[in-house]
Amino acid sequence: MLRGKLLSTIELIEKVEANKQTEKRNSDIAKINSMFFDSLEKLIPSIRSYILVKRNFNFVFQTNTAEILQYLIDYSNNVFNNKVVSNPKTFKNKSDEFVNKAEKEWETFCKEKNSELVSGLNIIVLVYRDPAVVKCCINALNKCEKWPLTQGIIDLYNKAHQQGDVLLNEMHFDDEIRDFLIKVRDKNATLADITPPIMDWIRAENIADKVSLGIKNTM
Amino acid sequence: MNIEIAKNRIGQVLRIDSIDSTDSDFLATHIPFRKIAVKAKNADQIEETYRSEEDIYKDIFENEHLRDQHQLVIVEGPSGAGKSHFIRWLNAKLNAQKEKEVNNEVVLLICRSNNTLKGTLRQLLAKNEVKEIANKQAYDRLLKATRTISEGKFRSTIYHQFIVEIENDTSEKMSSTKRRKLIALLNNSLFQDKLMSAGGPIDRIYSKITSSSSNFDNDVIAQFYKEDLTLDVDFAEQLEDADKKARDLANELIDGDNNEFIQKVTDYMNSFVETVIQTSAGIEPGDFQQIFKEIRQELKRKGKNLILLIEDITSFTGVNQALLNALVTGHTGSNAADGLCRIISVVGTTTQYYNQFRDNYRDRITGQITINDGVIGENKNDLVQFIAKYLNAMSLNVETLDEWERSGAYPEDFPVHNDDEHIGWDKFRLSAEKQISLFPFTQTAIINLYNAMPDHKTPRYILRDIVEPAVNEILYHAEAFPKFCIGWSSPLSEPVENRIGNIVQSLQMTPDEKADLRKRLVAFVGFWTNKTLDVSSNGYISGIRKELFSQFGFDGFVSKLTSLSDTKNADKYLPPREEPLPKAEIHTEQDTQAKTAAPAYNIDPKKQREYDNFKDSAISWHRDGKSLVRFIPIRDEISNFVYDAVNWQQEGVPLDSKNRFKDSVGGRLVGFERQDQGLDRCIVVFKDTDETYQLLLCFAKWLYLGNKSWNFPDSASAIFFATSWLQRNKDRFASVIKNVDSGASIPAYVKAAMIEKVYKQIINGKLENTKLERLGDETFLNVDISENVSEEYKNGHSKKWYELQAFIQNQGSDPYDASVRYFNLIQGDVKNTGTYVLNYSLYQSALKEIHRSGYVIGENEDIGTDRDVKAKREIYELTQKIINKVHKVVEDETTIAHDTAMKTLEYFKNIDTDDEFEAGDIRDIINNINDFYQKCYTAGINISYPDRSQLPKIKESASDIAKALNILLEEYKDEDDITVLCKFSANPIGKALPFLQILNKAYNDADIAFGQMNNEIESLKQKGSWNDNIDPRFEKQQKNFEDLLAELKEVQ
Repeated sequence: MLRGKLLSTIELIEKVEANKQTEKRNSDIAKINSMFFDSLEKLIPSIRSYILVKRNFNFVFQTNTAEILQYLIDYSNNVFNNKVVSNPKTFKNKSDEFVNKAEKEWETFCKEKNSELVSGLNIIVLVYRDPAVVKCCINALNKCEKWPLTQGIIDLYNKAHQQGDVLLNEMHFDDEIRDFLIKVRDKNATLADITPPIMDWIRAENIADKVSLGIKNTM
Repeated sequence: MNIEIAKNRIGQVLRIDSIDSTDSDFLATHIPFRKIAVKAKNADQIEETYRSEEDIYKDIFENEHLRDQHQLVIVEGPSGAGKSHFIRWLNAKLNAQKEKEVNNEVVLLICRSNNTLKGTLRQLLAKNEVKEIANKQAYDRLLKATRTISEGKFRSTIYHQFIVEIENDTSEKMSSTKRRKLIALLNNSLFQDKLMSAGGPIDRIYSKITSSSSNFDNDVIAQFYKEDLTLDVDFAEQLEDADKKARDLANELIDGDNNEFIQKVTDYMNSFVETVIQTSAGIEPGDFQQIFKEIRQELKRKGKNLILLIEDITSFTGVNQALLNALVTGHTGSNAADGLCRIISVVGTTTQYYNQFRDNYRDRITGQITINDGVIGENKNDLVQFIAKYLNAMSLNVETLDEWERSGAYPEDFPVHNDDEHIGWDKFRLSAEKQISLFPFTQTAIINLYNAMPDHKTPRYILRDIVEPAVNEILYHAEAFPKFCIGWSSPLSEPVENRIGNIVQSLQMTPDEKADLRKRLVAFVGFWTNKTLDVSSNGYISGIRKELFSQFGFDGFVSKLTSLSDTKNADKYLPPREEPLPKAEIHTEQDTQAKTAAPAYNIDPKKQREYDNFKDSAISWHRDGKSLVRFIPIRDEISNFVYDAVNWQQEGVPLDSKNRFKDSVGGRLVGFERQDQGLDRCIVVFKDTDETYQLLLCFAKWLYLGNKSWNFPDSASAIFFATSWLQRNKDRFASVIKNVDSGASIPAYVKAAMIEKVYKQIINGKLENTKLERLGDETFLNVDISENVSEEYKNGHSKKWYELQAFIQNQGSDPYDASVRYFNLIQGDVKNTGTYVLNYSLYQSALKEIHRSGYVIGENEDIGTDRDVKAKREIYELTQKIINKVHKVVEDETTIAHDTAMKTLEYFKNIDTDDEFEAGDIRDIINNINDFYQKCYTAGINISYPDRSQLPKIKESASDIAKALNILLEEYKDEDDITVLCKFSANPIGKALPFLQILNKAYNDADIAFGQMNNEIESLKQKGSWNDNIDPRFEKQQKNFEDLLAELKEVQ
């Protein structure tokens, strides 16, 4: 019994030793494979993000970007089918390019989509009774601008978007009030800007204690 | 004796101290002194003449020339010579004479019954003539001395006063270094306790100053004795923690080497005694002289002269110097102006004390009387007269004697009681007309009783120990007479004593009555008669009239004795009273020669008493059925006699056996029926027979009278008796010492020792798998007792095995001694040797017996007297203990053996439990293991590798290991314990264990190597270094990628 065990162990040792002798060649192949798999690992979150934003916001890449993506998909299909990686560096470069483009395109899309809402929220945050709620909305909307995305981030965005609309409606301010608030935000408001309608609005919203005066040094 | 008068008078007459008796009683019981030496100065010559007491009286008090002269007469003599008695006689005589004639003498007797300083002073001051002294101050001061101080404090004051005196001593009697050491020693509490103990020097000095105990010996001098300051080694050792100076002096005072120095220290201490007493008692040296002077002046004024009779000058300790100075002061010449009366002083002192002051007062002592009568018993006639006079005085009324005293107490008028009631008793012939009845004594009785007195044969003790108890018994308990002397050293020969015992035994009475009668008869016959049991035809038994026996209730004995005895010729046995009394002993040349012809037995009286005491207890045991007491020393001597006198080898008893027996049993070899202790532990018990009784007395004589020798009277018959007794009982002793059962060749303890030897060697791993029946000399005669400390022995056995080994080794003794010495034949006188000559045939038969026994001894086996012999019993019990432990050892050992074998077997597929291991199997597997480790080594596998020599060593021992494993595989259920032990003695488990351990290791290492190789393969595969392998990541990630593409397609 012991003898059998000893002999089989000896056999195994011999086998390992034989493999170790071809280790260099095998190692080179493994390095090439690793380059592919490492690039693929970085690419997959971008593809997954694209699926999500397409599905939720009907976002579409620009043509060039879409072409790069197609190249990457084709290359990968070919590698998996043949189990051989060749020229992985190109794949890596294309993959990196795609990820950068995707990030930028989404950010642009997102900012355009949210600019009005975010701007409104930035104004009311000054006077809203619970500014943290407003800030939370702004954060969720901004977070969605970062690439890649997850379903959780998108869900939070949608929720913040709805809540932002509600907050803006609650504050009942017209253009005059909005202009005044913009001036206040930009620290450009003067006594002259406090018109009777503005005073009425301040009184109605009971936010007189939130408005303060200052003298500018114009020198 | 007039019983009725005696009942009243005995108390008066027998007052121990004669000062308390009346003058008439004193004179009636006085025995004239025979031998008084008078030394007188004639010109410059000292003349010594012998004078009668009457002559001396006349010389001192009735001499016309000396009557008005100052006289200082010293009466000296050894203690007990009768100095006091003489001085009292002078006093009584002076008083009797005073009755007749008017004179101007004041007689002052300072008696010593109040023999203390305080008492003496009080006696002086109690006298009418002295009471009128004007000097009250001195009077008071003297009486106050020591009054308000407690006993303990006063003793302590005395002690410390010595230290003060020594500290301030400016004399050069002792060097300053020695003085400092002496002070240090005196300051040591242990030494203080010693000196202040009862009977010690401080006690003596204290007693002289204050107390008046009747137990105190009046003649003792209040001084340090050499013995007081002589220390023994034990005492010196107790001073270990004492001051170094104290220790130094203590070492110099140790008995033996330094007698001169001890005497010097004693003398030095004594030089302070007087000063210390004076200081302690608050007496100033001048006090005594002053008060004496005043007494004498007072008397002179009254026209009186002083006669001062001092019984004992030592009673003045503390003022001796002052007293003597007062006594030597004359009333004429230069002292005439002081107006002192004349003084005649007669001073008693012991010779010892007289020697101390004699030289200083030589010129002033006018006369010296030396009483040389010595002990009263030295003259038998005086002795008998002394007792006769007391018996006579007891039978006479006070009035009769007072009348005689008033008439001048002349001897020719001396009244004598005529005893008509007690016929047949001896009489003392005072003169032709006057005879005093000696009832209840005979002359023989008086002399014998006197001789039997242990010490203090002075008149006082004769009265106290003989006359008073005897007369009291006669007056009140005549039926018990002579009970007072029962137990005194009997002068009876043992045959006579035995005969009395036998006759009394045959009388019809209770055992207690018999015992009482026997004791009284032994005393009566022993002291009152001629110490025989001869019956004469003229009515005499034992030399005295038969009626004398009857008066004390000895009728039954007399009639039995008479019926059993041949009557002797009356002429040959004249009554002793007809015989002249023995004269004072005169030693002639012929006597001396006659004495030297016979063996001289110098028997110490103390030893004689010890013998007598033992004899009494032996008689009580033998005659009265009492327990035997005080027998142990005798019994030990008898046992030693048996051990030493028998030729044991000749009796078939090996000397070692006898010596072990003697060391353990000692005196308990012999015991006696009804001995009062330890009978159950004695080996040979002797019945209460005449022979045993004689044996006891025989060895009591050997021990006490002969002082462990046969040097005592009639020892020839004692030797004959002892040797013939031993001859008769020799076999009995040989049998118990040898203690070999019938059918056995060796005693149980030797058998046990030999068996123990076998177990010891087996357990110690020194008996290789040997057949038990072949065990022989190499085992039993093996002297090697060393503990097995080899590496091969240390591991393998069960815990119980090693525990048993430790148990055996810790016993210390080796059974080899007991067994080999038993068979040893002592050659010549050399008893301690490493070379033995064995009784080989006995040894061989012993071996057979051991083999037959199966090396087992029974737990409840009867080992006879070995049970009582500690050295033998211990051997037997040790073997029993070992055997009792062996079974558990076997159980544990076989369990471990089985486990070891099974575990080994698990590594071999090709060997069944029924098969045997072969060396080839072991070598093969070791080769495989060797290959494995070599492969592991070259592959760099991380395991601990066996020692380089380990595998080759196992391979070399393959055949031993195979044998050991086969022993382990055996079935031992039906085997004897010793057989199993024998199999395992060579430690087969220990031999197999290294092999099993390497198997275990190889197995575990193979597991490790296998695991490591598998990991290696996995790693190589991952690295793509595994031949013919596709990167597993393709397979793993393809599916995920395809799913992702599917989702993408869906949204596009």
